[in-house]
Amino acid sequence: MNSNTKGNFLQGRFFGLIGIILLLVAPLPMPTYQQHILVLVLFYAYCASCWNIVCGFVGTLSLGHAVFLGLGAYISTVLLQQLSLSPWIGMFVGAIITCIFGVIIGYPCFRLSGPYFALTTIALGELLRIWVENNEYLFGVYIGGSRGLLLEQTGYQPVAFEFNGKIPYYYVMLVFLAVILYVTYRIKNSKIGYYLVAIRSDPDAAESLGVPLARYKLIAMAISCFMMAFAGTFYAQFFRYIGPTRIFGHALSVQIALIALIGGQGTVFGPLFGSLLLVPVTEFLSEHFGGELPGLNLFIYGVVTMLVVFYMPKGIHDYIVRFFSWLERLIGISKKPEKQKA
Amino acid sequence: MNMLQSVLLSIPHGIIQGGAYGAIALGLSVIFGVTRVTNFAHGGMLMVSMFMFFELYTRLGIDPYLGIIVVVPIMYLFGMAVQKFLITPLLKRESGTTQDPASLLLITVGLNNALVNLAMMIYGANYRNMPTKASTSYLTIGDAVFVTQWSKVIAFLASFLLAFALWFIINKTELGKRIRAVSLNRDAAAICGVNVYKTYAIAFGLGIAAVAVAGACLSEFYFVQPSVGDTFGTKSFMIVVLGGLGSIPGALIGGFIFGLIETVGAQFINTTSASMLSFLLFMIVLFVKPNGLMGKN
Repeated sequence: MNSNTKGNFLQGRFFGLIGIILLLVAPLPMPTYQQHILVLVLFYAYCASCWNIVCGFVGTLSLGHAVFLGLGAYISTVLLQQLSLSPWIGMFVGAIITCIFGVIIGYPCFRLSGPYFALTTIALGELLRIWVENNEYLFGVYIGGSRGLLLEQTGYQPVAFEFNGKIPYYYVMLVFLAVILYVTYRIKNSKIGYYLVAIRSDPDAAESLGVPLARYKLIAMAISCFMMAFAGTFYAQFFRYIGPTRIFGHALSVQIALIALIGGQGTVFGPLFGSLLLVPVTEFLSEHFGGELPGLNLFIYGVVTMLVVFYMPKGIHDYIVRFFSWLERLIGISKKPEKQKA
Repeated sequence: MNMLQSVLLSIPHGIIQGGAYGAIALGLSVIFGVTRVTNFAHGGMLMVSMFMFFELYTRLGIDPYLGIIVVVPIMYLFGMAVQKFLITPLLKRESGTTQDPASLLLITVGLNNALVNLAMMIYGANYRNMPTKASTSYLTIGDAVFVTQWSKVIAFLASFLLAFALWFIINKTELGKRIRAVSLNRDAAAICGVNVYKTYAIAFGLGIAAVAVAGACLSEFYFVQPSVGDTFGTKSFMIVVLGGLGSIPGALIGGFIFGLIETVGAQFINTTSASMLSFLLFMIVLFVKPNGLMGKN
């Protein structure tokens, strides 16, 4: 399933098309709360896709990716509050700084393998979280400490990344998601992607064939951090509040990683599938049972993770694609099932 | 009290705090060293054992030190079950292909999430403590110069006992010989007739039993709460890596370093910022000496 993606962007073309149309019109007839959940679905899908670029393709497990989200959020928000710079521009400033930060961090980290890499990313996340929680000022610039930064509501200002209602946010995120999916697709079907997959399957063999390990891992890291920072800006503008405990927190990092892994690491649409499956369920559960049973939603995450690791080690992506291809053949839309082998 | 005095006084406090860190990390060191499983559910297991002690204390009035007799065997079996039903199938599945540590890591992350949030559903997020005898009586040295709870002193001593017990089991018994053989070379041990997966299960059970002992000591002076294991779990990992994989003295020394750096550091910056120092130290050590301070080559 993975080997034939070239020239076959949408494997279940018919259902893929339906899916795109659904994503385009879905929030329009919905009440605000459902729209909110849909925005979250796209947001987590986007974050998981960013994570996927570095960790899904290279195979190293980062459990501190929220750091880059937080950095992006803080940079654009501080720029907005101190210099009244539009987040649309601040977003790119944040992305560039986060990207540089990610490469500096990635350089020593990528020498470490497996659990050491995961532990270092956790340590990094905790380090930054504790630091931000305990410092209200950075070089005299107010960053809020543990109280976080509150963005004042100023009304409808598209130039300043502020809209009325959820719908505009939804479409902004949808565009972001389309971009990251396209980037993932391009990476996957380019030299970088092939190199990264080679590094994942066997780093020693890849190196002996002349694949420069460090450089390609860092390229992936740079792209991932750059895109992750955009999500941070979106987070700040959408929730109008950033708190270090959540945005630099270990829980968010793990959540992002789990969505991508459950969806299917190293696939283009896996993170989106993972998010579509997990986010509505858990948001619904925390909305309805959050009072009596706090933690039920994260409990579900835990159980689903174990089940997926056990029964679908490659994630749900392959099963979903296979199901829809089968459905297509069943209702006779796809005339050439052997197209799968092309 | 001047600065120097308070710094000097923080050293024994730090060592005592480090004993608790070391005790928790010991179990992880055994698991990590033998099975190479990154057990991210370690903190969750600690939390489970602490809630068991809490239940025994509130329902039956049994002191956690006495409760060890009940809880440790249960946790040993629990650890064996986790290894047998969750981890061994993955090891068997992946033994043919290239080893994928991600799935082993993930299943323990999932287990931890499930355990912590199950406890959250049952007990809620409230902080509970047990006013036991050891936690309400104090050791005083001099004219109230150095005051600490007896339970902390006991925890400090227990960490040495626990380390000795684990060292004895691993280095001086027949079972330990098997454990060492498996950790050195899984396949060679299997050829020599060692039941690898059974030994893994025993090692995992031992590690979890050890963390239950640490849980008893910890619950005497620390609050009991579903997310209590989160920080301890992460830190014990760093302590184990700092001390060197699978090294039992290393885990204890790593614990002392963490305890010292946090308590002494808290004299200069505030307490919450001080735990930043231990993460920083961990990262520096890993970059400079990836095998840990006491690690072999």
